[in-house]
Amino acid sequence: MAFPGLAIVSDLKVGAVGAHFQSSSKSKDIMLQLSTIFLSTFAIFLFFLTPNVNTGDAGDLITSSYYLGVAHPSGYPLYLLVAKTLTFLPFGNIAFKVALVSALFSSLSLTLLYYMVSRLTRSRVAGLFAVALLLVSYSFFTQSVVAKFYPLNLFIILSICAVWLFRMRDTDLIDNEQSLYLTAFILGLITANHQTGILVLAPVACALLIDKRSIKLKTIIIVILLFFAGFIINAYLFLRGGEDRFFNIAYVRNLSDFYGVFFRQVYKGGGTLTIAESFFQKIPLFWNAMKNFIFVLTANFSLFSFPLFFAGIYRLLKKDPKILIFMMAGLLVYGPFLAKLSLSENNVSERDYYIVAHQYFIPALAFYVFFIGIGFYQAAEWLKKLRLKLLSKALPVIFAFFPLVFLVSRATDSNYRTNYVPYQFTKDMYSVLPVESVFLTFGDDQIFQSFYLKEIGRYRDDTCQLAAAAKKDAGWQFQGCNEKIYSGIFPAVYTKNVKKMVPLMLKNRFYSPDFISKDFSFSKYLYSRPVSLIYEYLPKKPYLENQDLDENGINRSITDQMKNSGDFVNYNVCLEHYTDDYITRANQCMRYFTYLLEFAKVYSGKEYGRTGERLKLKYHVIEDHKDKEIRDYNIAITKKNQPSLTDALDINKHNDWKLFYIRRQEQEDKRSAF
Amino acid sequence: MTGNYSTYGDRSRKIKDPHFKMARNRITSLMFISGAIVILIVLRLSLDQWQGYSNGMESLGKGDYKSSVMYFDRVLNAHIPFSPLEKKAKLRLTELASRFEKEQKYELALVCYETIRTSRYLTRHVFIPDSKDIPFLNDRIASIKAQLLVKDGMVKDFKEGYDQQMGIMNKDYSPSVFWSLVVVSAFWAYIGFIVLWIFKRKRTYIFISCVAFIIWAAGLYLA
Repeated sequence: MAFPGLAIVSDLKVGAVGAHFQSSSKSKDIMLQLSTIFLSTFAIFLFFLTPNVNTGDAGDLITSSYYLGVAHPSGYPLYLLVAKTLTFLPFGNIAFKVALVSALFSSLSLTLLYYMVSRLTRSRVAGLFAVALLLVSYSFFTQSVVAKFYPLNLFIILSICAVWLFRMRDTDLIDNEQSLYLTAFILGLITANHQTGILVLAPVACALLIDKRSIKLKTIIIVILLFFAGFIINAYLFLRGGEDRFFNIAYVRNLSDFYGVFFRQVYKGGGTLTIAESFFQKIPLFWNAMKNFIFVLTANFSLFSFPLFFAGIYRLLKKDPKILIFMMAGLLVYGPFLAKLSLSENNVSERDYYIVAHQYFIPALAFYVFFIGIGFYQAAEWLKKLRLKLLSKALPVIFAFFPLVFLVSRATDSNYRTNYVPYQFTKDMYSVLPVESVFLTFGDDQIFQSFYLKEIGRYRDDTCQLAAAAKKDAGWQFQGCNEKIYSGIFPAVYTKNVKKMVPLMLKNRFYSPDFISKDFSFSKYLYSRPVSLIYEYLPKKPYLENQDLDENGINRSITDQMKNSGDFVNYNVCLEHYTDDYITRANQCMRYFTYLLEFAKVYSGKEYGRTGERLKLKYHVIEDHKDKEIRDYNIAITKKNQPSLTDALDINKHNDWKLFYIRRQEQEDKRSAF
Repeated sequence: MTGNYSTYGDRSRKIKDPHFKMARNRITSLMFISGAIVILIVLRLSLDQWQGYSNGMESLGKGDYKSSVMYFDRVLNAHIPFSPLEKKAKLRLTELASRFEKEQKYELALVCYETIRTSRYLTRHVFIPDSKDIPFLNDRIASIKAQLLVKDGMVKDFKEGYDQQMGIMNKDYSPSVFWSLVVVSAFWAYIGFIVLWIFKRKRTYIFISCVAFIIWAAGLYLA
């Protein structure tokens, strides 16, 4: 038995001498090809995989999987169970192990794609081209190297596609009943992952309509039962969603909670049902949706992919119209249809580029690449007709591997291997906290990354992490400050009355990663001061009553903390990473940048040896993907603060957020305006 | 030999059976792929450890203790059982912590001890690697925190602060490892046997998947 790694090479040789479009019927040979595709793509993803927790929902998903808790709605029980399985591996840290789920399922998806394209075209080269193209596409690649549920979702969707493709081709792989049963079970299962998965029902319905084969009543009953057999994995939410469990993001105590979490109705405007209803409203927005979706395609594959896409449609129209309808239904439903639901604004916000455009359309990208793979084969066929023997044989092989050139781009914008920023930033924030402090975190990134470090890693067990989804939320959550553990140390916190927390503030024991802005629910009663990497919260007059605030003492304490922080804050991480991850660059590294400026301010006095120069700069403070504040700095340069200012400017340069891949052009415009 | 024991003839017939051959090939392929996955993971983590350790030692040589702690932390987080680099990184961090304690730089010593402890919790699987070190680390961490609490006037005396901190650190609300293993095993068995039933239609498979589901649900409740 040959080593699988050699299969592609030998295939190439065959291709080069004239047989790369030959049938590959031997099952052993197929296994070898599939193993090669799987292992080689897995090796690539593994190399670029995040070494620790990444931004976004990762902290929530990792902590929930470890504690067998319920993640943010819709809870994602299927993903959590798959991730939990990998946490038992005796290698790496838990975040790395959970991120392996993405690498594994992305590789499996690419293997399935290869199988589908190469089996339909009987061309290994066409399959390889499709794999290489999807592999290097920005959004797919990025989702494959971080902890997220989209790769699992894609694999499930492609599994259903594979089942129906083979059934439509009447291959001996799967019979009528088996395909129906398998689809029903997988559809049930997919409801326990990301709910966009259920949209794959559209192409399946198309296939059933075209097929016109009668289905027995018994089969229908079994289909329904199997759907429920898959759906019942959602029982996890009931079994683990109780308030008595140690860690849960969302609680599921009764059917009403289940409805709220499962359909994401707790998000109000963002609930699954609400969004689905909006599909038939504002029909002209379809134009925007289409425009935005095409933008996503061009950002990932460039305009050059369109001719091959149409060649693929042409080929299928001629040879396999059923498959064309099936796959086109998939592309439309995961492309323009989903864009109408989630990306139909005329001016797409930064947040939507980062969250929606970059993540939701992964299945659409796979469907699109499927057509391109077929189109590639068609183009090769056309080339054959030109009777340029050598060219018609060599060109497809060369082009099949050409997309891999773009791995170089991915190594500079999606290289998560060196992105330690989310982990280190969170750790540094906790490192500078005085013992027994309360730490109020806002928004997904701060909250979820803290959960990972504190709940799984038990870092700074003495601190109490409170969580508020947004600054305007007056009700704070206690997942990071479980009453079972902390009630004896922080009794004031559990009164849920901020006024009673004032003594903690007066002892310099109340902090947050964020400053107090106008939209903060207690902005009338509290104010904030920057202290190293974080902000200290202090009471205003109404909360002080008859007490006086020792302003001089506070100033002294803040200056001391700032001076000491130099030993704890590892801002160098921001010069090591090669990702354009929005939160990493625009939020966390810019925070390090701000810290260095504040640090330099402390050491800008005459006693530190002024050079006579000043650093003047003005920049936006970004929070929750919005520009929140413009800050002016005018710092006297001294011998002591010069290295910090140099580092600050280096960090600013390295993390310049115009590099965010999917909207490079717009950011450049914005910068020039600034 | 007769009865329940298979003869050489039976065995050779079985080996020639195409279904048996196919199953054997599949198992071999799966084992090969799993082995390759493990090797790839270990290679990746070894690279992380090697880079982390070299950078850590370089920083240590330059007297940049902050960066060396960060790099040694990376080595510990890229956990590989029995890794010599991991042992060395842990030793360097412990040495740094003791040195900071002697120099009365308690906050720095605290970061070192906490880094080791957290890395062990973050790399836990069926058990916590180097769990024998946890009591020592807890003791040092609690002592330092108690001293800092006394200094800031947060507690009456050292003992109160120490007991308070030990009380927090000794609590662990992680789900039961045994029941968690039961949950994931039953989950895969449930899915696997339903898929098997779809292809083979043997009633036994339905029965096994029902049992697996019950075990899964019970395990989730008890974990």
